[in-house]
Amino acid sequence: MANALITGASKGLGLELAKLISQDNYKITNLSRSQCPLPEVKNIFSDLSAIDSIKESLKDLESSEPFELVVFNAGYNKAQTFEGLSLDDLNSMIDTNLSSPIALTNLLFANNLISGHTRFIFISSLSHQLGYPYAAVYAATKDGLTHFVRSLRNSYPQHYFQLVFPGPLDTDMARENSPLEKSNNRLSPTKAAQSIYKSHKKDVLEMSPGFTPTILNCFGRAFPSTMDYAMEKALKPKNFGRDR
Amino acid sequence: MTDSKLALITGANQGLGLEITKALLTNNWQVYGIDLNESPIKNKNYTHIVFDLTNTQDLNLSDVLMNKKLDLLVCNAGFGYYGDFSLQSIENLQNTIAVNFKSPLLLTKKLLNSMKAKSQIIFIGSVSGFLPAKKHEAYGATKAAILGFARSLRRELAPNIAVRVYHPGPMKTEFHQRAGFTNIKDSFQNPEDVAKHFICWLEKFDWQTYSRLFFRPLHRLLVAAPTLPTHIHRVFTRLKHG
Repeated sequence: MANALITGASKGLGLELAKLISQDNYKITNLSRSQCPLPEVKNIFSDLSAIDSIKESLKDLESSEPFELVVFNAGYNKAQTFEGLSLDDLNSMIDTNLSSPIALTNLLFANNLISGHTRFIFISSLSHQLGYPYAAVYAATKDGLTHFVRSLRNSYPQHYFQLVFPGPLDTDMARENSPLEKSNNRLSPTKAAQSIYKSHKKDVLEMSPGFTPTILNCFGRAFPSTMDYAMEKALKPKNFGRDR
Repeated sequence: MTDSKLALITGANQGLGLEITKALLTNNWQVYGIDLNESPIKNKNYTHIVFDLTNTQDLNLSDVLMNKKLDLLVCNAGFGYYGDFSLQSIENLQNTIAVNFKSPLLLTKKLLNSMKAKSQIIFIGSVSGFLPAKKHEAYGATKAAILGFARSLRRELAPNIAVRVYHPGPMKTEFHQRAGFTNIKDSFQNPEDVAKHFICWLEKFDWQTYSRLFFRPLHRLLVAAPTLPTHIHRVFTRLKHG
């Protein structure tokens, strides 16, 4: 049985991915603050926004075999104008979305917890292609993560790094923060996870789950400034700019 | 002088930051510079602030600025480490993110209300922010993050404040020595020339520019086809090893 590591598998997309991965005969370790409801998953507590907590949880990981599949799924979003964003939220976003994957990847490599041909899945966001006005810090952290992974591909050609750019999902985090108000436009995390895992099996380097996100992904790459202009028009808060 | 424009620049002591500061001073700007150490510049229009930008949240500029409004904010301070990713220490990675990414964000947030109408916030990006950053992955990530931040923030703050990004290529500065990169080539640009280009660009309208002409189409290509470098790398490895 091969070993898999998932961050944030207690709910949402992480949980759905964990279900698929455990069906595929992996022994899963979940790194997160809360417990994964699946009985076969080993839980290790880690507050991914704190570097000390990540280091602490590494002590528990060191005893395990090298991982053959690593999923960086944990993320935090607070959609808020930059002016109105609290410093706590700003720090949480940077630490959870950018610092923790970089630090954890570094620790895994440095402590020989990566096998010869490890498969990585990094969950980025469609905001990388489209821009995300009124959530600039979130967009920034995901852009940073995306470029980090693309650089890693050239540094470690023996491993497989997949990047996933999901659009709005039907999860708690996304429902609070992302633009679409009608929930029927949201992709269910179950379907998203199936689509991601299917393309993962086919060694696809970069993908967006779902039909509309795939189209938007292509449009964003072809016309980046048009798309972030359109996003600004779509996302502009109703009372924005009145008091200026 | 009341009619001179006001700029604030971070990392004003060395390399590109120093050259931009000098160029702004020659153009009659009034400049505030932030850096770790005392400044080599002696000029009546220059005010230096000694501060370690890893703790930007503790920076208090109200005593220095005294309600004056800025025309220009240049977030230039940055550093990186060159070497195998797995050999880099967590502290170095954290510092890179703190100085290159977190500090410009916090500084922008602090100064948002001290910017004039029709002022500019300029982030110094890097070609490592869109070309694959082998052996300086974390540095590349922070620069890509700054670019992404500017892209979204610029829509948010328009039309009052222009948020812009300048992407320099490799330059003949001490930056590389500090990063642990020794292979400095003749093709690297002089920071004086880049600073001159930067000053000209202040008057222009495009929100991002590059220190060399061919970086722009290269960036555009990589946005459209992000997996291209990976595929090229694979083809070369296959040719090499059969």
